[in-house]
Amino acid sequence: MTTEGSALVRVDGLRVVFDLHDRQVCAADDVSFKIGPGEALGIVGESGSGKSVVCASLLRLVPPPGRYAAGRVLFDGVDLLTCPLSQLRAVRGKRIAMVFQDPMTALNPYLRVGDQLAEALRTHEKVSRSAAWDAAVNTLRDVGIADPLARMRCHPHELSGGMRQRAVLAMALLTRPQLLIADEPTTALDVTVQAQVLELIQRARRELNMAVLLVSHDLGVVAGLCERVLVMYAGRVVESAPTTDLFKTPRHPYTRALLRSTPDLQAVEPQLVSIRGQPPDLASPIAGCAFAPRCDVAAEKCSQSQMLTALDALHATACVRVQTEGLQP
Amino acid sequence: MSALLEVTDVRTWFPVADGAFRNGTQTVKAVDGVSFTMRAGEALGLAGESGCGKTTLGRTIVRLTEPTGGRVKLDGLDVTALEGEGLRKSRAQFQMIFQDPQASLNPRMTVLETLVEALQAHRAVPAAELRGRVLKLLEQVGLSESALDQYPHQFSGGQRQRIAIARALAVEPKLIVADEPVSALDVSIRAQILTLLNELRARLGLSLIFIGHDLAVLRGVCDRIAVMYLGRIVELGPARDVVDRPLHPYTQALISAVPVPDPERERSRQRIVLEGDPPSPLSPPSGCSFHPRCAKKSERCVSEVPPLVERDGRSVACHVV
Repeated sequence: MTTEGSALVRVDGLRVVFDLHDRQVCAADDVSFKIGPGEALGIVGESGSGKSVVCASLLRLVPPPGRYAAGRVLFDGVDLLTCPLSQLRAVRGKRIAMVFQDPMTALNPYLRVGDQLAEALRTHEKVSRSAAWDAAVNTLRDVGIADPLARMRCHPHELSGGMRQRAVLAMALLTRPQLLIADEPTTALDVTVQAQVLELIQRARRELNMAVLLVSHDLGVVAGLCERVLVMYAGRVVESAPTTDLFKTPRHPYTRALLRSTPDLQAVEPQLVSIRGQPPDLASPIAGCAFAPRCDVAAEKCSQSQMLTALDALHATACVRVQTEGLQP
Repeated sequence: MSALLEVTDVRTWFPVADGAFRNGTQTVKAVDGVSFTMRAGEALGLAGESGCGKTTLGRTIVRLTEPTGGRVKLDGLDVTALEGEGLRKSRAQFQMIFQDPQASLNPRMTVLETLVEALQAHRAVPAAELRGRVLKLLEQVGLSESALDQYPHQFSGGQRQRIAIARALAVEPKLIVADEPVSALDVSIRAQILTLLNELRARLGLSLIFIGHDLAVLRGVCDRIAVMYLGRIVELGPARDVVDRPLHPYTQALISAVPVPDPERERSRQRIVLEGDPPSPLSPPSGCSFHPRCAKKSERCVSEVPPLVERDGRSVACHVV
């Protein structure tokens, strides 16, 4: 974990609420974490766990009716949730770049790929049209696109899914960002293409000393790329630990169940373990631990509110039984 | 034991318009010469990346897509030769489950209506027995009676998939083709549906063709796995053997690309990163269609299509292996 002074991003008590006409949905609650320069942090969780909302909050991109009900997102000391728009625009796409799951929604279908890439650079840097074009060609080559000049003249629909995601990644890397937010960047891709894209992110990280926030539902993807992992459930962080610790000694019962239910290609005895029940409905307020109804070791005290608490310098969990009784896996 | 399903040289080709303003047509050979057999009660996994033809093959077997050539025999019955009423009647033998139950269930029909329709599609069930039969179906897939009068949108993804499975079971089929049945579900729910399919297979003696891209899942659920690339089976064998000791260079690359949920093993793995994208099925490469991306290719691979050859219970289509 990074020390206070060196954190590039510090999220503090973030709470994001969606006001619907008849009810309120709390998509993220009391989320706090830090990312140091060059560090890769992973967020894992299932659909509805709030991981994408956290990502979007980092660039103040949560769409209405969502609003930031509490907390701060400090980037280099500036609160991105309250700073003037002009200041935010200087960060968006320049110092913090973002890649989404579906590259088709990130590209303009009417414009040639090359024009979009060059435009992204010219928005943030004073460069001539031709210099921007050349820079874009080079970045496309860097991300492993064969014949980049021809691809620059293509429209997005003429590229394959993997090539589109690489083009989007090239666009994100053009401005040499300090932080790359990748929200399920490989979920829509085939495994062999996924391997290519993950390797690219890894390489860009080394070359640019770029920090990465990687959101994924796939524990294998996170295991390969990230140094630390946050596990989210029902809008809250339930466990935070260095990647090796988390996989070796998961402490929260949800993390343990999630790891058990992830199929492992190399397992000696492949087994099917599921978590009983369904994820909770966030529209109705949850008292105590949100996972308790599905948890094998739930006790009476689980109905009290739970706080993410450090077990040691690096490992924190929100399970009250682990905190107070030292419950072991 | 005799084979329940015999698939012989099945080809499914699609004509595609050659550009918006030209009149010519090209052909996509989505499935191009696939043969295999299946025992009764067996679970066969069809693996491969998008565009490899696994879904088209599954749809062709249950005659949702017309084959261009070849033959599919189910329990001695030539499915490819059936037409009209004969085909409709035969559909009680084989059913399909799709990836997205939200799309495959009628949003305006309650669970009861959906299942009654399926029950009556092929058999005359006395009205007095209907409710009991529906309840039995629900019980088989782990849903309670309270589900009867609810609509699909009132269920979660996992429960909806259970309803789709119950509907497939209603006609008492011999074979179920499940096309990515758990891909749209969360990991914690996935295993529930996989366990259910496994139990049903054992209890009802069903045969299952499981189409999926996740080899870790297929390894856990299937007896055998067939790996497809560009319309052909490149490797077929017992699930554990194919995943643990793949023979075909493509299978090896595919398996090495699957991330393992363990940081130490994941970081120390040798990964074969394939260059480029799969080729367009409109203009497949000559010879072995994998040769442009293959590190082990020889001259023969460029000119000659390798046949699927069986040895010691495993089949591979590769000149080099």
